[in-house]
Amino acid sequence: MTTSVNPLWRFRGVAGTAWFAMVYLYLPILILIVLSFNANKVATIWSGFSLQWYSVVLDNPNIMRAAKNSLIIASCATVVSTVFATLAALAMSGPTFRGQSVINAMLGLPLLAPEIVTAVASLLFFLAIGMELGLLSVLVAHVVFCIPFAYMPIRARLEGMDPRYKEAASDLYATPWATFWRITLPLLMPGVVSGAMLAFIISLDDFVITFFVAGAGATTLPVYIFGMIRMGITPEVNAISAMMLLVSILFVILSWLVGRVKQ
Amino acid sequence: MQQRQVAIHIDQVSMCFGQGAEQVTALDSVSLDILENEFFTLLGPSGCGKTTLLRLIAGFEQPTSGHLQLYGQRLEGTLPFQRPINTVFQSYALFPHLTVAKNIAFGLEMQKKPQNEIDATVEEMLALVKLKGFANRRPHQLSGGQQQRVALARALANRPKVLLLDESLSALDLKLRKEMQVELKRLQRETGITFIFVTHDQEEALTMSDRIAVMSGGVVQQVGAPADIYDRPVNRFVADFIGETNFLNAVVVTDGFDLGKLGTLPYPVSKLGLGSKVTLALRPERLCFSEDGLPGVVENVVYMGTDTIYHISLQDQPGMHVRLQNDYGAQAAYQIGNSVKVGVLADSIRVLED
Repeated sequence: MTTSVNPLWRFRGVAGTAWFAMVYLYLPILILIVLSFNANKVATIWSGFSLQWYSVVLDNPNIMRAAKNSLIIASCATVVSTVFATLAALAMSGPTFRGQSVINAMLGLPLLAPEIVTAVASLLFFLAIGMELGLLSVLVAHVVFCIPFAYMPIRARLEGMDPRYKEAASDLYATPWATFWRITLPLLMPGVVSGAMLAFIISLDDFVITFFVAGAGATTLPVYIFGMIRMGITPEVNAISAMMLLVSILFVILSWLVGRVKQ
Repeated sequence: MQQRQVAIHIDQVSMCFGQGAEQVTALDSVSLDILENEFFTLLGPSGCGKTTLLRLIAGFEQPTSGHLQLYGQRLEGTLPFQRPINTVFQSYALFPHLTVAKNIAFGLEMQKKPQNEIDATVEEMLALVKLKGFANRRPHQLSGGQQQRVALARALANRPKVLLLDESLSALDLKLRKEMQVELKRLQRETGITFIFVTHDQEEALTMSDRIAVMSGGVVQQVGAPADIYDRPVNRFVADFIGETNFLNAVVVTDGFDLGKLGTLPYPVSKLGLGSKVTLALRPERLCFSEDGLPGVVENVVYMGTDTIYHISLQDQPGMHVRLQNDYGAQAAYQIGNSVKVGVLADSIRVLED
């Protein structure tokens, strides 16, 4: 096989523009990571390499509690929203029914709705039904905005699936139930896993909605970081942020590996 | 001869898709009997309804009207997984996440057969399709021909009463296709299962089938043994679709057919109505050049290795092809522009009434 060179490189300035874009995207993150290893108490003045801020973070019980909340909420929201999204995708790929396109549009709507609107609406809703603000209210709100993120890759996977597989299973004496467990779900799994990973990261990262609906004791990591930053940018904030980035990158690598194994 | 049982009885089956003005009739009152142990082929151009008929037998669709029977039992209302019929799909539809062995075992596992029986059948099937040693491969690690054989094994493992094959050879290259044609015929003989094969390839149909149903426009045009269909086509569509055919427009007169300016072709026309218009179908390989033939001019000479085909233009009639076998080392008998006379023997004429 010959390796072909992308013909775009022949145009002048393409390489320069590409480098600029990469720097634009990643330089701030790089600076944050570098500064998280800064020994100086003032976050923006470099005075030597140190891991001390990481140990400060890990020793801070408030940060650890916020991290634990974040993980609990992200895990639960991921499971619940992925199950909902899978069921929705299966229903949407079945025989056509009245109002299908409307429902499809509504499933994607939370992606477009301004987050602040969703946040205010969620808060009003919880107050109206008299629900106490806490971990549960955060979880409910997270499930809502995680569903469309989990739904998209699952739906795409289903759309790309050859309907002949289901027919072949049925032809080979599999009941609809057996066809689902033995054929449809295993073939759908890469989509389900990417959907779940996406939901997890979106939930872990959410600030606006969480800030509105989290009561006392339900503070998540992004909300805690926001609170810290109001006192000024400390190297501690850099260290937490770098650790959250690490978790996100781990997830991306994991989802890539899962995709490869399934091939 | 012992009367063979009818495996599949198709009784006035119609199938319509869509609604109102956009309604399309895919099958128009089709009736057929397919016998036990038969290699039966549904042959026709794309859109003729052959695949729809296959899908009705498999149970993926339900007919709009009419009914189907499997060994005397009515099939309507039963779903594919309730029918002892298996399908080899055009795209094979092998389960990509399962190994070859697991693919072959799938149907048996679904029928809750004991594990030792499943293992034995998988072994037997792998041997039957000559894929021993491939049990633990995944479908994507196999060539097209190997995938085809796994698809066959997966269907045959269930010992179905009827095996359906949907254009199953069309994805293979020519050489492999020829091999698989022989292979399929062998499998059918060895297993004694009724095969219903769908194809648009007339050569494939002629080589493999015990009987062929030629379909067009959702209607069965003719059913018969390959030689029947080839030598005695019942209408112009069948004559044209199967093999190559020359058509002449003729009017029946007392001593033969009036061909206009070409004169009269002698033929015993006793059973035909005087003055009626007919179409004469003539196979190119049944024609020759002779002194008392129809006058024409050579328009083109096509050398085919074993044969040479002469394209002849005729007055008042569409052109004809004459196919002659080549003698070893001989030159073409005629050149472009030569005047020739095409000899037509009475017993090679097939009369199609318009």
